[in-house]
Amino acid sequence: MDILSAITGGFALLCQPDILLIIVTGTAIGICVGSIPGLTATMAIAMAVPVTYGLDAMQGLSLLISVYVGGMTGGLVSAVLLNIPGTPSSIATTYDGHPMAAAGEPGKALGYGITASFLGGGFSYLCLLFLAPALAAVALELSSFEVFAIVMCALVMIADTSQAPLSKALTTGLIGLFIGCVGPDPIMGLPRFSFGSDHLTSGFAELSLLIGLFAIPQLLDDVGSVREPLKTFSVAYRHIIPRLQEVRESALNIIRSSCIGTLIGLVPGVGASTASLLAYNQAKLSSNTPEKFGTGLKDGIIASEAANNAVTGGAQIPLLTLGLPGCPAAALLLSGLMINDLAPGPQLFINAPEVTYGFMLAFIAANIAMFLLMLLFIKPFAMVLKIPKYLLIPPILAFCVIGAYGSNNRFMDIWVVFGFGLLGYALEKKGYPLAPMVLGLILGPIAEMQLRRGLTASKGSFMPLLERPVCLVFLGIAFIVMVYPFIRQYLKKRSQARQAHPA
Amino acid sequence: MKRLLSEISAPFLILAAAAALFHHSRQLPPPRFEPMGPAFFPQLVLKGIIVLASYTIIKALYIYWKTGRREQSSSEAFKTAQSGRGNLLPAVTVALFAGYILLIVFTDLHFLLLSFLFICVLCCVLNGSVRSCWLPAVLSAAGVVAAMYLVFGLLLGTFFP
Repeated sequence: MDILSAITGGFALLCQPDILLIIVTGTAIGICVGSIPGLTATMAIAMAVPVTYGLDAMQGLSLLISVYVGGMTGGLVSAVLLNIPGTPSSIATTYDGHPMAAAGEPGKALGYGITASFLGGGFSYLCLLFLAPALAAVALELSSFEVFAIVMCALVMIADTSQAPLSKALTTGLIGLFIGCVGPDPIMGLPRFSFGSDHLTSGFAELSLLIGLFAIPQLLDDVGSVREPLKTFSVAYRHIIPRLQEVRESALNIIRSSCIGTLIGLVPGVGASTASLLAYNQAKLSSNTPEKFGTGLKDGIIASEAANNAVTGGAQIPLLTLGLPGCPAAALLLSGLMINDLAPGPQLFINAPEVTYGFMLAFIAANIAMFLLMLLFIKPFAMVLKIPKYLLIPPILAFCVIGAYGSNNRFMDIWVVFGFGLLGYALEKKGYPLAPMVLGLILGPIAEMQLRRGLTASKGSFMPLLERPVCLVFLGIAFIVMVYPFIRQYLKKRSQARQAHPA
Repeated sequence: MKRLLSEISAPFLILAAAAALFHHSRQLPPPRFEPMGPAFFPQLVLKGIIVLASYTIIKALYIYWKTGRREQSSSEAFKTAQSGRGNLLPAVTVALFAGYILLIVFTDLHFLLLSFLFICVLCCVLNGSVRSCWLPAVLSAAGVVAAMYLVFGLLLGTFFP
């Protein structure tokens, strides 16, 4: 099937009334959840995954995508109105968004953010639509060892970018890989680490693990600040839509920030927070009035929001072409694909082209829905901020339970949510980040299968890992990322010693 | 000393668990149709965990040995006082959540009824005052239970536990 007919097929799938309704509803839910500080877009997707069990592939994926897109943009609302980023990626939006709101123009600040989010997202989804098929064709040529090397590189990079010591981040990544080993061996199907339990013979239910690791630690963390009052601005509808002249003035900023976001999204683990901070910094560097950044400048809001929404499209490229989720949200989308027996990777473009293009077009539809919903209903969305957290946390905990149970009707899954929730909370408190663990458990089975397939082909020899250029490049990057902190520390010590004892 | 114990407790537990699981993995069957076998990858991963956990413990011990005890004592006391104060509400939430799950698993009470009660109770506990919170808590619990019934029960056909 050629690309044009696949796009047409995907478009036809998307244009059904039920799908469009799901996209609008999912986007609204995502915006609401994303706008509440402490509840992230990733948690919203984790909560939405159980619902997809009762839906068909396109309906389920549309729901997850729209919640994701809405959640990423929702963070802007509390960043501007409360000076607290609703999602971590909106941190740079607070720098100029809140001062502008404090100066009496919250509507204008939100309007710039909404428009930039829409344009940044739109740019990255077009890149996704046109780049992903080309990269998938290249990915088809990769051998098992090469895929294994890419997976390992991604895991190391994700561990490196988390704000924890690399040794701790790698430990949680490896714990995730091990959890992925519980259950049947991917080659021979023999049960491993089941300890005689029938429930563990098939391994942990991925969904329960994800709900446990994403939702419970986050909620327990929020419980600590549940009684703190939030002060918010009220939003007037005036000036929400920016004038065309203003958008034209910021065209270069939007394009640059969107490119930064899309490229950062391509690199596993770097994430939307880095993209928005980098784009903000670039906007400041290229501005004629850099000193005004941080005082309520529209360019700051535009740079941050265009970049963080552009990451969503970029992050789907490795997911669809290699089956490699670059961030926790992409890992959840991967599980959404797997629920519908759609294994992400280059074969997806051959086996299910219409759903694949429908998946990509759903991002564009969700982006349009987000833009319209935010412009038309910004006042009700802003009112969500006034709901006290003590009324939000208990219902979410109850939804976690039914979400985990509903997928397989097993009590075991409820215990998994509880157990892994506590484990995640304890690990986070001890400075162990959870993102590498989640990606480890998603990537574990892929890594093991590819490595063992490769070793079977090479009759047990690891040499192809050092002989193939692609393997060498990716393992080399992973090695440099691991060794660099030690080299940096050594050089710092040496320069300090030189300064202390010159000549 | 408390700080050192707090630093090494997590990696020590991880190390012990990894060692026990490594020992258990030796019982897995040997390779038959391919060179590596089912134990190969988990053992590789567990070795990695053991190395990293050992590294974290050694590093913590080295820093403690190098910086000495005096420097840490004042910040330790502050941290302990801080964490002691903030830990109560999450602990109560965990206890209530565990009780809710136990009631779901071991009693015949309907899930929706238990969820209603759980939401009401936890809302009041988190708010800290039953008098000012009972009405919003009941309304919120009723709304959530209705939404659960509509979405999971009617729309998705989920069997409630």
